[in-house]
Amino acid sequence: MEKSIINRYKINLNDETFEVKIWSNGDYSIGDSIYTPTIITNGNNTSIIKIDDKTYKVSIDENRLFINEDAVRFNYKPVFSNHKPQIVENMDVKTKIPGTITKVLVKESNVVKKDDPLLFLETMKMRIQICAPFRAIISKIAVKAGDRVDSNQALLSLSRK
Amino acid sequence: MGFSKVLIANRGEIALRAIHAAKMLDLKTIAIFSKGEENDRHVKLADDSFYLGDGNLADTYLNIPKILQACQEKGADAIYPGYGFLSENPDFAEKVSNEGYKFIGPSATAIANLGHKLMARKRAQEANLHIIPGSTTLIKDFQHALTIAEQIGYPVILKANYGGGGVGILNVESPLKMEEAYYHVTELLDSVQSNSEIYIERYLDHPKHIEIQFFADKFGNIIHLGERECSIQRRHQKLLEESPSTTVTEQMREELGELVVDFIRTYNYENAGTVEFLYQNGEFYFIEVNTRMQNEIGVTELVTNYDLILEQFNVALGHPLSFSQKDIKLKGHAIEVRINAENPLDNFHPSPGTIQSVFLPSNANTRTDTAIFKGYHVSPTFDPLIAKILAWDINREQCRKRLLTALSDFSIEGVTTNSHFHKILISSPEFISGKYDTKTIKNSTIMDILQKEQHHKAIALLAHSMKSNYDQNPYPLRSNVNMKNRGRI
Repeated sequence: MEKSIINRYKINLNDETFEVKIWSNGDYSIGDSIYTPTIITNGNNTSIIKIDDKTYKVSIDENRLFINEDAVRFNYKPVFSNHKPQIVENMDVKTKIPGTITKVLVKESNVVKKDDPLLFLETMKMRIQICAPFRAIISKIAVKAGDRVDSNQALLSLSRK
Repeated sequence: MGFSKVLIANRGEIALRAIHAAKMLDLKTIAIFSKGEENDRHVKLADDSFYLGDGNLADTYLNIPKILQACQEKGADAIYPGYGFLSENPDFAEKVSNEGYKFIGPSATAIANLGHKLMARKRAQEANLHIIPGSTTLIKDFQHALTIAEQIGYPVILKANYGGGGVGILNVESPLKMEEAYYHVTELLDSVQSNSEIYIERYLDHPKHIEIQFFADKFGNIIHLGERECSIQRRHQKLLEESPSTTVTEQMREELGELVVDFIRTYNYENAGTVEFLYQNGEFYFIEVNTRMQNEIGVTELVTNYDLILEQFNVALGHPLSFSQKDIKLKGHAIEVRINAENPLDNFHPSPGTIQSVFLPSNANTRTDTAIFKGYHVSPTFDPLIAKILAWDINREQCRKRLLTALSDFSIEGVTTNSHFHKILISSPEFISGKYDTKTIKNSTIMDILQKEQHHKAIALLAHSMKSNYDQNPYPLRSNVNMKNRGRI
């Protein structure tokens, strides 16, 4: 029997996002990895789920989700299969992590290739290089070296080129 | 030489340890703090505190004039540097002494001489320690780097002559990669520490990192306290330490320890320090000396049963060492893991935030060194280290199990940490056998297992929430019962 994808979900688990495909034979997959979960017991708020010989206890307590007693931040949303990826024309480059800008490597109206370094951010003794997500022209630079930035703050703006 | 009021020029767990030691000796303490740290434990625990203001580290914990001003205003007569920050800055040690305060650590001259890594290498070799083949002079320019690398043979490693914390270490595979690597390292060093001197060593491909703790007093007594193995690293920064090392026999410990003591004797050294080695193919290679108390002394404290921070104060007060070489017998086994606010699966990137809840493990022979509490802000300004969990037991396997139970008990909300990574690490065959080195994280399946478990969790949560959200399960999750038949259809 051909197996087919019957659903797709985007799951965010502690700020990390996975796309999970659910297959007609009950398999779940993330990227190239295929997993076959088994529900062993299922109480009202607690499930014991076995995957690859590992057991996970999932429970909800006062609207908080726990896996094996560890609290997790979690949400999911369906990804529709007829959904066409939208091409982003303009975007702000943001930082996930707060820190200090140590160097801006580009100027406004510069053209950059995908993965070209744009600026350096230093946080907790680590230097992080922030790169261009696609070929683009720098439309605006909102920060300079020495600026302290918060998470989700826009650092510069790009237009696809 | 005595002192009665100590300014603690540090924060976090090490500041707490120093304040505890001072209290044991009936000394008064002054904490320093920057904006946002008003409620931190070290500020509460010290007798008095001095506000450094807002700004980057250069304006606060690295601001020498301001710290000296704090001493003067608060009437301190000694400074405890801790680790990191100004602890290995000879300028700081010198200014502190010149102002008439006691620096709880080695002299500015000893810090400067040992901090010049190329010079320390030379003197180590003269003291019969082996060194990794490499340059005998500083690298003048990119052409010079090419010539030297050609002589010692690729792959090589470019290393900062000053500084630590893993900044400015880069390996170079071939001459083609040299230009990029050379400029990358020197520019990076220029921007972070305004000294871009480098030298070159041959690259060892699977070394263990093993270090010897030593202690010296002003009467010329120098003793060593055995070794720690710190091979588990990411970005050249340690994540796990243990003592003793599975590699080091009693005889090796004695021989290496004696060589270390003889080497340190040439420096007129006072207080604590560590000589770091790489070990590969049966040979110990000297790499550098840390002229401060290290982060990972806890494992040495557990196997020797001495309070080494208290000993630093004792020695600084002018007393002789409270133990002799024959008192040092490593008893049992200790392992420490560093809990960092970081995500191992996102390249170990830091994860600052505010701690919503925390539970710290406690058990017989289990210790947690930390300064965090519910509501504590893990700031992007500082190192991601938030706690160290240590276990001791009569042998390594018991110790490992004890640590595993402690890690299972540890829980925290508000920041992502590497605690689960540590559980997988210490359960791995590499760690259990002791056959691990500085490349194990990269070359083992530890990261794959961690990634897979993360996938499992995502799927388990999705499966669970579908079960919970729909009365009838619309998706074909398997139950135990029909599972058996499925494969045969």
